[in-house]
Amino acid sequence: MKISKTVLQALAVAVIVTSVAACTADGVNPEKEKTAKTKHMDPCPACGMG
Amino acid sequence: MQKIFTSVACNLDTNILLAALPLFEQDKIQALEWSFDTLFKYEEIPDWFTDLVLEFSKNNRLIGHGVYFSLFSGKWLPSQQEWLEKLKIFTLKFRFDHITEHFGFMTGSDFHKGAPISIPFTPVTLALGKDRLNRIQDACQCPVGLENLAFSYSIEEVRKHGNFLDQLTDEINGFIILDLHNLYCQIHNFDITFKDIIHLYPVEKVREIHISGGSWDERLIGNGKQVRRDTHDQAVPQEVFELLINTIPLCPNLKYVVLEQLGTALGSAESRIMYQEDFLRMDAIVKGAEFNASGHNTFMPLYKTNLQATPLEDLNLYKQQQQLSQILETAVDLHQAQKLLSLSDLRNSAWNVENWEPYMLETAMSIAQKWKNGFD
Repeated sequence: MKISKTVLQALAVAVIVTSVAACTADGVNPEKEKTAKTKHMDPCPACGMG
Repeated sequence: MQKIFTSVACNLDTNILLAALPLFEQDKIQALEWSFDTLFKYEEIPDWFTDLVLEFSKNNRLIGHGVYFSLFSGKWLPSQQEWLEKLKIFTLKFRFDHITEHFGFMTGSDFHKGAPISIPFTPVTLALGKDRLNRIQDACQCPVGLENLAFSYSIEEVRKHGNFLDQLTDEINGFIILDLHNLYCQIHNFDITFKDIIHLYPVEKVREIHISGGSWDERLIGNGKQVRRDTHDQAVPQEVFELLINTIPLCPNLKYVVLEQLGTALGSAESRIMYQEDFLRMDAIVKGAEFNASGHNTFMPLYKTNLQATPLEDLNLYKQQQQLSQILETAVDLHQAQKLLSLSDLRNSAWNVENWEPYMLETAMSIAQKWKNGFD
């Protein structure tokens, strides 16, 4: 299904920024202030509870 | 003619979204399955994620998959009422083509802990399940379905599961999600063939198929093979793709085929590439399948059911579930679990604990202990 470019761009920016933030939270980059301002998303359980 | 939409289970999860992003960009993903009740940790949904979900909603390609309702909890819990209220609110904003939940009850001490475990198939649990499914349908006002469970305690339970799902969904004209990895677990763990197991399911009620990967437990089943578990943390095995090829032609009302994988298993670039390859292979199988869309079931209720003001409960069942959860979460080994079960209210009851396969009881202990603190 075709998704609008605006939605895709916003998604790309959000997940790439979050993945960078996850790296910094692991200690790769010690810019604490930057990581504190970025919302970190948790893994989601959905199914797979086997 | 009804088309089958290839879809991904996609939630507010960085790794899943990173893995799916190239597929979104190439317009490959035709529908989105969203576990709308997994957002309990968030005060608000980010706008960009809402916009993504709304894109699929506007095109009537959004399906909702609940995780935490605990359909067969013997006691009606305040959290279940809250779940229904939230679902009502979600349906005002998003148009779901259908809503589904898992079979079983959650073992955890609160609403967001534990894992779904099976229940006895009795007239009491049947009535309980029907009442709950009616309430979900009343809240969402769209088709409602139930997914087959991977876990079983015995081969007798495996043989009855499909028929029980059929009876549960009759009143609301509901449908089945046939999770093929769950079926694969049962085929492997109970040494039953696909041909023998698939005919035990109401295939005309299958509106959605799930495929995913899993893992091998260290425990051995009777024939020396390892127990297969539905952990969603690996790529889709060849056997599950073969099950997909063989199952699609049997399901005249099939509308969605969904790839599921946990975000925790998609942390590396290699695992994301494998995920994308799995999706493209699934998509190719669906496109090349001998699919005869002869079914015309809308899966909307055929008549209005008057819901009782008070939800059905069975406090005896609830007490048994509490005891079972406690045993599964705390027993140090199989011997202790068997002993505790023999002293519990489950002894000589419809649970039939005396016939549970020891390796599946150990597996249930692993599952319950793995998830007793939720998804921390």
